[in-house]
Amino acid sequence: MSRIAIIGAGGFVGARFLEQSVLRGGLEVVPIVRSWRSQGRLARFGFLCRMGDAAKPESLTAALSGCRVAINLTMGDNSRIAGDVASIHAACQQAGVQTFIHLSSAEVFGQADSPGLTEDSSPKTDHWMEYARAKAEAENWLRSRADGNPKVVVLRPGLIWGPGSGWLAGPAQSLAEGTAFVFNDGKGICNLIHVDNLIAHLVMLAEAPIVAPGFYNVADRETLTWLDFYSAVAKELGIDPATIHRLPESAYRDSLLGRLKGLGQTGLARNIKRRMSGAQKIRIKQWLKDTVSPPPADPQPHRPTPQVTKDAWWLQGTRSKLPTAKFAAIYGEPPLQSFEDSMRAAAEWLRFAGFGQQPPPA
Amino acid sequence: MAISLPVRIGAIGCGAALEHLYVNPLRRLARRGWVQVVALADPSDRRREWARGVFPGARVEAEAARVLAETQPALTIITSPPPLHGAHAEIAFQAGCHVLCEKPLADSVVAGRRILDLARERERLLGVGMTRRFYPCLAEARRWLQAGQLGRVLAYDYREGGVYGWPVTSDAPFRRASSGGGVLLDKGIHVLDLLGWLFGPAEMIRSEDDAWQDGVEANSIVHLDHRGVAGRMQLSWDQDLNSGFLIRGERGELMMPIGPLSQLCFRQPGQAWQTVPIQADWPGDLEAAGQVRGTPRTYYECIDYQLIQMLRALLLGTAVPVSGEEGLETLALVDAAYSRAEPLEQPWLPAVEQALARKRHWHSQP
Repeated sequence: MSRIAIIGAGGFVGARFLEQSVLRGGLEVVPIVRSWRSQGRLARFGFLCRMGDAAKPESLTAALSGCRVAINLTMGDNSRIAGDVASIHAACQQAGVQTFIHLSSAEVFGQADSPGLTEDSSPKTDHWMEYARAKAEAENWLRSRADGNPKVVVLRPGLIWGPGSGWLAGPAQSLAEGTAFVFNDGKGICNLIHVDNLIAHLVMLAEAPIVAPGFYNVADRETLTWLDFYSAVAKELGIDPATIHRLPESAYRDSLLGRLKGLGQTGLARNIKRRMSGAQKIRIKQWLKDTVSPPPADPQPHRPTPQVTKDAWWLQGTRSKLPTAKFAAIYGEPPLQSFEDSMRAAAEWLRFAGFGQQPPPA
Repeated sequence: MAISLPVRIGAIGCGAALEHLYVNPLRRLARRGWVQVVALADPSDRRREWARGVFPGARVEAEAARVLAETQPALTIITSPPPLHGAHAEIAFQAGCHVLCEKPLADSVVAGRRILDLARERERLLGVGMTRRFYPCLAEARRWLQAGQLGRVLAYDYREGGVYGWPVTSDAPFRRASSGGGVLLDKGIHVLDLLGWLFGPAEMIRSEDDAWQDGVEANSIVHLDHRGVAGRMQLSWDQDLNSGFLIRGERGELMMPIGPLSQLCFRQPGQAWQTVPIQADWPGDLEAAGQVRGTPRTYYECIDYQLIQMLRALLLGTAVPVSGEEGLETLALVDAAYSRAEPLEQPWLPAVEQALARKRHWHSQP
């Protein structure tokens, strides 16, 4: 058994990885977090975390000591993704880590509409989404170093779902409110991977006696459309899928709020925001909200409306499922659970989280 | 001794609670000439250095007793970790201060009762920081309940979940020895306080949580009975829940999303939801008539209003926003929940993991 460092252990995937590894045994895992607050998600386990920040590589080198494998699950600011990867890679080198597993994203291939796309294809560097551009930049930086020291393995998951995930809670919330929507009759590909299926890949890599450096797409076995996914969630919630709004492509317009949010991502706006306190940001946000939609003076019908974002419109336009055969060809078939089984378990979580139709206690 | 303006303020504990909750409200009140921060105490060199930069006019020391004795604040705010509240309240009372203790009052009923006794012995005011009482939607809901607009109240369901994001300056909140508990003591104390405020005293019926032997709970579910009003409270530090607060009465239901401070919806049986206007407000000045009234729009403004009501209690003899007795009642519920906590059911986990998680529960025998 050898130690596996989980960098960014306080995230959704990290917390589940730790839970599973302790309950099932067999892996010695070292959780590494950047800030004290990141331990909130791990509080119930009582783990002692190591502190390591990619912005301070020496702290990360110390945190990685004694680890054979390091898995990067960090979810930082988009502007930090590429720089952090270089820092983590350098810290792995310093600490003598043999394998560095980096989680990129299927979004580096956009809507997967390029003909002849393979797992070794280069990512798009002109994506409109800053997150995807940053992930692509990190991949490109790692590409020339993949077979060096440490060996680099890059996994590209799609939307990571499962109990507690935003990709489950979000659709459930919108279905419960009656605001769920799909574009193009929901025919776009919903590129999902269940968190436990992603972890199954990570465990296989961590346990592999020899790793083959390179780039691997990872996904659930099934090919689902967005309508399939929303309908499956709706079924578990006892909601009629006919309530899912079918929106035409033209329904997406960059709203005033969307454009304001876009402005908020410019360099100048970021600099201003960085100088503001949390309280100031909240006050401005509240002022904007009160200006756009003042508190009612009389009772008003409460009608939640679909919040169409550019991200949602874009993701629902995914053309095809990415190829994923390379991983199994090299490491063998990972033990993936089926969508049907995963959704059955997810339904239990949905009820726990209050998305099912439950009356208050009587 | 009569208290005059500006009211001299001290604080024990210069960590995240002081930094993120009280600094800006205290500065705003200082600009109005109502308060002057004179004393700050914290054992950490780094936090004292930060405090000196934020309140340059204040004496900042490691030792609370000394700095309070030398500066004589009228009101001391206790913002240290909960297990230290008892010792720090004692220091403040011994220095002759009135006390506003950030929630929870203490980390145990015994410690909380001791604080209350000290306040009585020294004839000092004791308030507990429970900012949610200043959420306009909750105060409005209380107005509705008191006016009988729902008829007889039957039941409620309170659910609040999101990933922990408080910018703590150490891992103290995640260790039972240093924090006393997890989400129940952190968010739950606020919620149990407001549930008691809305529905009256409660009895703990059942409690479940997910803490392992060395951890603190990130998820907690408690069932309560407020003399005939059945309630359920579910909290999470580690995941998004379908958050909201639903109150069911004979003549209709009230619903509040968690997050927006000013959204309250009502529906009559068989009717659609309506967003209703908020009329709840609080005095916003220090005059006896309290004619300047206002409604907080953000969480931080709730703290301004809480401090103003505390100052009004000191200067005008009005009631403190949340008394020590109320703080103690809430603490007793938390104690009951912890002492009776069963392993939280997690049916979405594979059966083998569920069984192992139950074995690792902090009340299970190792």
